[in-house]
Amino acid sequence: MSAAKRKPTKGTLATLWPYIRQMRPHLGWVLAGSLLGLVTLLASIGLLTLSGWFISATALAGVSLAATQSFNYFTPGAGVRGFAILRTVGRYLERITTHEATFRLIARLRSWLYRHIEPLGPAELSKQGSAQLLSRLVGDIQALDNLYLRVLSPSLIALLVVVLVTLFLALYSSAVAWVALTGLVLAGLLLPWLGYRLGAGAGAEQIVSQAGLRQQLLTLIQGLADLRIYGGMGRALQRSAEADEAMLATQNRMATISALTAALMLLVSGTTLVAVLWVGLDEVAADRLQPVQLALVLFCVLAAFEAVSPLPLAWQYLGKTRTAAERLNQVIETEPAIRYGEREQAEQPGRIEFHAVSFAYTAEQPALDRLELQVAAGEKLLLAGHSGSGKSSLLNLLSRFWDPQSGQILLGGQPIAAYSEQGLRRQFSVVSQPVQLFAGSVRDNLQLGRADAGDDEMRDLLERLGLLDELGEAGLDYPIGEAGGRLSGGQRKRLALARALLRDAPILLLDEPTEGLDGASAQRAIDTLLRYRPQQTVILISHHLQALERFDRVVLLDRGRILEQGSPQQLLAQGESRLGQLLELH
Amino acid sequence: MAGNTAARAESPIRQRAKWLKQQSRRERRWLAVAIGSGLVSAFALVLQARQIADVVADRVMGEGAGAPYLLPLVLLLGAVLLRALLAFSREWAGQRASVGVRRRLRAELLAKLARLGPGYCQQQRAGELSTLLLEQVEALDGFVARYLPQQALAVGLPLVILLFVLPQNWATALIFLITAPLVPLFMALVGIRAAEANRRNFQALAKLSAYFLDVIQGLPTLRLFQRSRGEAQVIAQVSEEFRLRTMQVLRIAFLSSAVLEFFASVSIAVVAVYLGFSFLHELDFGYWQDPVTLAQALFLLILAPEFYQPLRELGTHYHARQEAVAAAERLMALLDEVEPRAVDGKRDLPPGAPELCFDAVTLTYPGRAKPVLDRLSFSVAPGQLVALIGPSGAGKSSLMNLLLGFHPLQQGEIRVAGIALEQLDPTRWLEAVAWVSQQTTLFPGTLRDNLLLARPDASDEQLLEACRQAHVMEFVERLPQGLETRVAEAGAGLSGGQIQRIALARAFLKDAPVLLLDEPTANLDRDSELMVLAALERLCVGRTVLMLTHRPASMRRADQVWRLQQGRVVALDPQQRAQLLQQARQIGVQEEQA
Repeated sequence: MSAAKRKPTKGTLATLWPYIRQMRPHLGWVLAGSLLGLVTLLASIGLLTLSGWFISATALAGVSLAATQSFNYFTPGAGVRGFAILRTVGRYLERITTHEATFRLIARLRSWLYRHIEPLGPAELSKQGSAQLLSRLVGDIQALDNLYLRVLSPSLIALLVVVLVTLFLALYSSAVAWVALTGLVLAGLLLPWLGYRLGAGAGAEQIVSQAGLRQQLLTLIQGLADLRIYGGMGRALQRSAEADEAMLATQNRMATISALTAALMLLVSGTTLVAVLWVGLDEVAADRLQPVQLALVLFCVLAAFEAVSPLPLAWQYLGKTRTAAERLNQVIETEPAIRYGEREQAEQPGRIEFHAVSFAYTAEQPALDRLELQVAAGEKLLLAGHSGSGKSSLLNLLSRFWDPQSGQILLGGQPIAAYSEQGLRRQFSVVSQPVQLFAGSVRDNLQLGRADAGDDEMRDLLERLGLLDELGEAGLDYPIGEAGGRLSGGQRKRLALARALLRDAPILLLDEPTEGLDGASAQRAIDTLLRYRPQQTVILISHHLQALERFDRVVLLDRGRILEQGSPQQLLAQGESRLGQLLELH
Repeated sequence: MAGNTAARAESPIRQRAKWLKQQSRRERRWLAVAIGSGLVSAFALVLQARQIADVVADRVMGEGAGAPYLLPLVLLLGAVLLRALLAFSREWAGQRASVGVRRRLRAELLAKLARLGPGYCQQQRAGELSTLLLEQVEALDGFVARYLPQQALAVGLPLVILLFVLPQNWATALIFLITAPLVPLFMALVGIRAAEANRRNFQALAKLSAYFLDVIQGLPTLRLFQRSRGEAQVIAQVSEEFRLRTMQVLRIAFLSSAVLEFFASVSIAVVAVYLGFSFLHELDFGYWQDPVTLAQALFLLILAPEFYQPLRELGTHYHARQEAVAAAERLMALLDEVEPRAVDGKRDLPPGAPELCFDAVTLTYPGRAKPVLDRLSFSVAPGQLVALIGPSGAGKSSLMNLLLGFHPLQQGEIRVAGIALEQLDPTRWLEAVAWVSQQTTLFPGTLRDNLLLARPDASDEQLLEACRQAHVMEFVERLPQGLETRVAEAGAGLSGGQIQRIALARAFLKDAPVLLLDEPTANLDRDSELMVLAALERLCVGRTVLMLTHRPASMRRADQVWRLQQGRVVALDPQQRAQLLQQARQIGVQEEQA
């Protein structure tokens, strides 16, 4: 929104340049597409022009018998047929080629953008990690897909057509050529510019008003219970209707602009035609143009407007494309805030220390408050606490998705910042909350954990987690759908757990790995994860205390600090312990 | 499953298309204006063609040398002006129709959501519902504004042109008719094959975007597994595969539009050659009485490309239809949701704090074997505070929704002051309830507006008193505009504790005999929690209170504590309670020390 409101600091070309530059490797396809578009348009113009001349000439020749007999009708006849075929074939090849070029460009644009986005942490991508921001990002990338197909290629073709048509007309009459050029430039330059200028403002307003409506709708949906109990439903519905009206009004403006440019296009092309006719008649009268050529120049001008007519609409939406590019440029120009060191290996793998670590996502709410925690290599630690107690922040800090404001984290005896990114990642295997799976088969997702994991090992692990039977006959080939949509919540958790267990890392971090599992499955899961790699340090974050006795140590976190800790035996022995009961209530 | 869907795919698509047309019919007047403008414009085009043809023919044949041609040129300009005006009105009327359809549909969907109520909305993701009401409704735009008028014009415009061509020359009319054998057939060609091309193209792009979104959203996981670097390669690869597969289809699918292009080009060529050869006396047919004149010939040639233009345009709008049909599926699904039966009880509550009584209430969610609430019975005596604890997912929220009437009661009975819930006037019942949930929504407007929601006729003193009781004044006084401060997006700028205190002030202001609390202190920091608890203590006096919680500190004042487990409630025995309260006190002491 702010990007749309802000006065543009860079020109449109400068904003779009990084994306246009990506065309270079596919310049062949890009140019071939435009060339074919040009050929098609010229064939189209040629077809009408030649036809116009042909019937005028034959009509004139038909008057006298001698002229009729000497008239060579084979060449123009063949020309007309040739242009017709050329136009058909040209159009087909043009569509194939431009789509080829577009898909190639998209592939390149995406991987190029991805390379810029990849090093950014969640902190830079979105402060709240909201999925909506990410879909907007993808939407912005999509908006650039058609830059070549809709704007660049037609503009280039139109430019060339205008030049060629003007030169062609100048062969017959320079006066007619000047008139036609004026009309084509008005239609091909002024109207697109008008569409762009008017459209940019309306387009930006459209984005703002749409965000306003979304806000109203979200508030209404989320606050439905409050509205029912406290009243005010009528007003809330009315507010939504008003926001809708505001958005539709901006759309009306946008539509009025396109209606206006469409009307102006017809007006300009029609007036140009009249002017060409007027000037042409004069030229004929002054004997500078043969009468039979009058039809030729007229049909040529008539057909030439096909090249410029799609431009205003394309340029009207360029404002939106530009806004998308501006937002993407912001992401691309963001420097990753987290710097990695050089260290590749840990001296004491599996050891973790937090010294007086304080951390807050926002200034108002501290997540960790001078936390002190040491975890020995191979220790199995249960980290418990309410939601908001800072458990998940620990995981974010260890992954270096965020850095603490103060204090020190040591990993394997070394400051965590000393590790290279690969060196750091090698230390951990993680089950995050919520788990993220990818469209593809179960095997594809498991191989993310370890690329060379064998089918037997995978099956064995799934069997131990009780997941294999649930996959049915497809087994490892079972397609899990977008983001694992074809699996239940509990199945997703277990698949993510299996994926993490396949990875051979000194430390296993798990955030609520048993959420959504029934009692028996949860027991199996905890059993498996504690036994699979006996040497591994395990930190399990949870807000319930299942299988508490299986851990070496239990730490209760509350409001960013350790409230209580000890071996489960100790804690269970103290019947009075607050810990057990406090958490049992959950 | 996929095969099954494909087999049934045909008829639902037709259903959706039918539904879309029904929606559009309500704006048929604007659509008629759009179509009418297009048709009248065709007449202007004919007029334009006639003037040009006459003037040029006249001059070429050398008959009217030196004539000023003033009238034809003025007529020509008039036709151009008319076409421009009609182009504007066509575009504009299409947009009006589209705006009208979307405005109505969105209002209808909102009303539907309001009728479905909070019980339904809580089960859905708010983000998805808002997308449905926003983007999916917007997806109808292209369909109504452009596709529908163009669909009519693709038939109408060629007919108008034919109307003028036929009296001039039957051979040309025949060429048009043969090359466009039957307009409906061409429609089918454009509709099915070119649509297929468009659909594939569109789908490929949508899939690519979905894949990209998947990767971007999964970026943290990919990084954790050291796979994020390689993914750039994979993205390029996947895009490449998509390109290969899509292009394979497109190469064939584009052939159909090439056929249209071919007929359009060839008919111009054939018309030109036919006319030329007629003039040279090589051909001698096609005219009615007199042989073809140059004026007629030029007229026919100008109209030839226009004959096919509407069909070509229809193809370019086809993806708008695809988009609309896809959106229709989800929109229809929402409109078809079964609404909870309207409760039309008439009875009013007696004054004073009532008794709340659950009697053998059973609730089973569709598709689940195990009931969430299983013959649940308990009661809250008038003026009592009962705390209900239990693991998440135990059905606490469902219980609350039943009590509020947001969920229909399946089995058993809920009585308020001895009156069965369905006999109560629902409006009156909700007037007797104040509620504070864990996620209070603040509505756009000022803080005062938000508070007065509870009691629009409250005096300033009453308002300020409620604010004092709920510890709202503490932070409102520090705001430069006090109660007139505008609440920005979803209460942005206020902390969770502050929003909860506003919710409490609302409840104070409403002064209702029944108070329902759903984790009122969840997600609050320590200071806020203590403040909210202190305010709650005052609020509970003299009311029947049911509180869902799992924070011991919130339970301190409860007259009874019940645990909800496996669909039943169990009272905590005195010892358990003592322990719990003891522990709550300890925490309280510790908190106060800290």
